[in-house]
Amino acid sequence: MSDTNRDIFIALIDAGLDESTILSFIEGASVDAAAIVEALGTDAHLADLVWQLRADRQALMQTATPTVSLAQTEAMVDAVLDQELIEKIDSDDLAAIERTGQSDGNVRKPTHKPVKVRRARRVPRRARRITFALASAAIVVLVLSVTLPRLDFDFASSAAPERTIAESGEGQEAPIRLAQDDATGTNSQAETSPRSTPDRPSILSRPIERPIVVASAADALELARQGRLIMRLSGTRVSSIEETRRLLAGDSDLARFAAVNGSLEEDTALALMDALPRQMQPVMASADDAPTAAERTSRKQQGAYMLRVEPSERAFKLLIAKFKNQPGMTVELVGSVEAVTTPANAGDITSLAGEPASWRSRISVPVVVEAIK
Amino acid sequence: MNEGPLHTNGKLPDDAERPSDEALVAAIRSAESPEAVREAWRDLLVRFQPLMHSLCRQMLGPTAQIDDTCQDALIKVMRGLHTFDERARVSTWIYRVTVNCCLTQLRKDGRHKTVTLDSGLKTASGPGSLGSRPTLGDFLPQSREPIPGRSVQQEDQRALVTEALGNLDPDLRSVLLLRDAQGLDYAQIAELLEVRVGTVKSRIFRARLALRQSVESVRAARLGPSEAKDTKLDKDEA
Repeated sequence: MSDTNRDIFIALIDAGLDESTILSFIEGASVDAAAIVEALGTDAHLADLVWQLRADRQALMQTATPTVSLAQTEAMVDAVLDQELIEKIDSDDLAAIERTGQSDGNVRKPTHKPVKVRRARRVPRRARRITFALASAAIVVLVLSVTLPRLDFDFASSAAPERTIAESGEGQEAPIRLAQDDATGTNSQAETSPRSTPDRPSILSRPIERPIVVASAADALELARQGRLIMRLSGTRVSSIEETRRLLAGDSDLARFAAVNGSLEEDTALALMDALPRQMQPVMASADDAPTAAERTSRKQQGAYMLRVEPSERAFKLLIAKFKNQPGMTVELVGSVEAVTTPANAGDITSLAGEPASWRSRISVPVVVEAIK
Repeated sequence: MNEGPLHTNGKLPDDAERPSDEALVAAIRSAESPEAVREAWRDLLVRFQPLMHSLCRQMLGPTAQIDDTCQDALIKVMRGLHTFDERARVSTWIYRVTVNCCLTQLRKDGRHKTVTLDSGLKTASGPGSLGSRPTLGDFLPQSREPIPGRSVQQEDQRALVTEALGNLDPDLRSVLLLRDAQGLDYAQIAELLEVRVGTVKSRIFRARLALRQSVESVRAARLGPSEAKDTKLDKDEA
């Protein structure tokens, strides 16, 4: 204890006051005023000290003014909810995937999060309904094709009026989102997804009018092969954005599954921005709070990079998981309307470093890092 | 409960019809659809985020980590709800999570323990040591512009105190902020820190004395050595 504080304690004890009484007096509670007055009346320094302590408390009480607006509060909360309530690969999963190279059936899931939340989010109710409807339609088509083989029945034209996920979004500004498994999953839903319905071309291969957002590594790979994939990494946390940029700037363990070609020229970066959908969170707000929603989605590009990725689902899963592993970062796999890189064939060998045995084919994938304000 | 300027028990005083904190937690636990889960979480977090952010700001002072620490605290609340056994109030538990996140951040930054009751102001009282770097006061609202109706003397006192607060040991700082700035009562703070009420009172008393010393040091640093000496002489004469 310092000399000054020891002196204060001694003075208080000598004056017949204990900590509790002094505290009560400082905080304005009712105390034995006579004892205080008597004690302080005999010691001017002590009286001054107690008065100052009261003033300090008053000053501290004035510092508690809320410092965030409702919009800021909602933006932060929504960012946290987005991060915590969506399926997310954590570092354990990543390590498991890297170790085994197998699908998520063998990947240990974290146990510290509410299972109900994670499970419920995995297949949204709307997606389940659509999947069920598409599966039913496929079964009906299959049955009809077996039982009525001799009829001249154009299944392709009869299927046309059906509304797919992609079509149901037409007319809106929001990008199309395909209800697919996420980066951790296998392609188990492929049979029922619009992408692989045998009677109609996949949305990934037919012309589209606006960007789409896919959720699976398989779709990302397909888009990358067509030269249409843009990886959009966004977040609100400065530290995570900086760490992501550091990863993409090279000299990081990202090199294990993707070669970093460095940052892109400004013109290219701007062109990429034009290729990205502008409104990514169309369901967050009603028409009444459109300005708030606009605030939430205000984005600023922090950098644009080009990766050369091995053309395999596993490589894409690892890449996505690596980016998702940054706290608060969101990874969006955007399919642009037109090709933004040169389309590649899976057999193309575009990375010729080292011995011929180690030569690998690679696909170019532009990556855009954005800060959400 | 004292007359805290902000929420008490996580409730706004003028909004008695809102569901209680405990009801919100029950809603989260009983929600069945993803939408219901999200809505219930959103209600709880939006209610507490301002308090948490305010506490982070007061605890951490001028740092870019305020938002990150607050986000970490929100995430810890979400991930740790299954450990909340309802023996404490929801608000108390959330305060505990937030304080722990702040202390962790301060330890990570390695910039704590500048002033304790035992150490005095050895590290903070050097010439220019307090005036040459940003202080807690710089980050607190209205620290530079006077509020109408509030005297210049009060403003000066508040600015001094908030600056001095940044030099306190984080443990002392936290009890003082929980008591004075956040308006928690002794029982809540004791519950939060898992100590007895008497211990809380003792810590707060020590924190008040440490703060007073720190304020005097800040004042002396602002005035400069000669003016501080004159002020001291004036006081002694009086």
